[in-house]
Amino acid sequence: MFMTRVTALAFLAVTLAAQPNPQEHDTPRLVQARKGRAIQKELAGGQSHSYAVRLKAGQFLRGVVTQLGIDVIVRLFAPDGQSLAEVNTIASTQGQEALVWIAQASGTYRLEISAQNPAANPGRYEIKVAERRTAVAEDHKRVAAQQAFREGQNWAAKYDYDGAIPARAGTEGVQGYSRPSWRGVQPEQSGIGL
Amino acid sequence: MGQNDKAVSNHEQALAIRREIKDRDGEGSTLVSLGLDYVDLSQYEKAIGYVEQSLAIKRELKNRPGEADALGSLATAYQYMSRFEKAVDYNGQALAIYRETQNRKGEASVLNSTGNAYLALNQIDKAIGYYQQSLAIKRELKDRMGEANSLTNIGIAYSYLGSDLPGADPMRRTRYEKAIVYLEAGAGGSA
Repeated sequence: MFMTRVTALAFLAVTLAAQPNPQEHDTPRLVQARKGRAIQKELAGGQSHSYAVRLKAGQFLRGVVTQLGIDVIVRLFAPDGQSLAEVNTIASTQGQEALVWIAQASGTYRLEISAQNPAANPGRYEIKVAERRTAVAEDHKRVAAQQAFREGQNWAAKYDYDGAIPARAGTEGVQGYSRPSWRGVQPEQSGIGL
Repeated sequence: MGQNDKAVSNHEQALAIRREIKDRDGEGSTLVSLGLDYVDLSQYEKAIGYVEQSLAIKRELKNRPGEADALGSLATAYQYMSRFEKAVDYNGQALAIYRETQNRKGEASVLNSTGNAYLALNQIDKAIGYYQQSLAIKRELKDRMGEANSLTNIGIAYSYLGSDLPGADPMRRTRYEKAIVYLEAGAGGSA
């Protein structure tokens, strides 16, 4: 079972870069996180929190963020700052966002949590490194699925809107009827990692 | 290849992998995305087929939020097919779950969608009622774009009410004025 294979050596450095709160801006503090140990924080629109995760080349990471009152986007950045992955699978202030990745190089990766709505009211979230271990073949498929899904959502997102101009049947056809706001943000609460 | 086709291609790829690794919940999520891709492509029967598969998986997994998303997506597909009663029905089922799971964003969206369906059914007062409920939640969530959309929809609905009345009826002008207020507020992103 994936949950039992997690190393107990997960090391998280937490950089709280909460723009509206100058006390939190650029004042990194290290938080040592053990396997499965959760860190709970409050976040508001316009803010983002960054967590540093040390990975060795070939290690598999599964970071899980539980939304407890705020809808978040989770991004992963390489040690050189390159954006690697992004998940925003649930358009809700509840539920879990899970991001998976396999490190190509050893170093400190950055998990960034930001509010989906820049004006969102403050809410809490909980983050934990659910898995950090040597990658197995299936993990590559998990990452590939995540990336393909995300790519698809990016293309589809160009059509997202919330029904600004409803039409009347028989007059303007059906153009302009609302598309769900959950478009591109379907829950991903798989029991096997994605 | 157009944007819709690219979305389909990527989602099909994700679907194949998720089926291969037996990621049932991921499969369900990808199916609903594919369904919405086919809505974009105006292939509604195909869209409904995918979303119904998603709904079955989400129900099997007792994933209530996923079930709500599938129901809302079915409503969208039926709306595009001009089957507005079915859209209202599926929206109602989705709404109940969104409320149960306290998904305020989903609730606001599905209320708006229900308003659209009632507008199409020429039940303008009902449509306005749903738009107003959606508007209240969007304001609560500080969703400015959504708020503008709801204001615009309310304005359009009021303009329909006004246009249905005889020209001499003073109520007509009142309703048009109301429509203009809402439409201006929607265009400005504020009430």
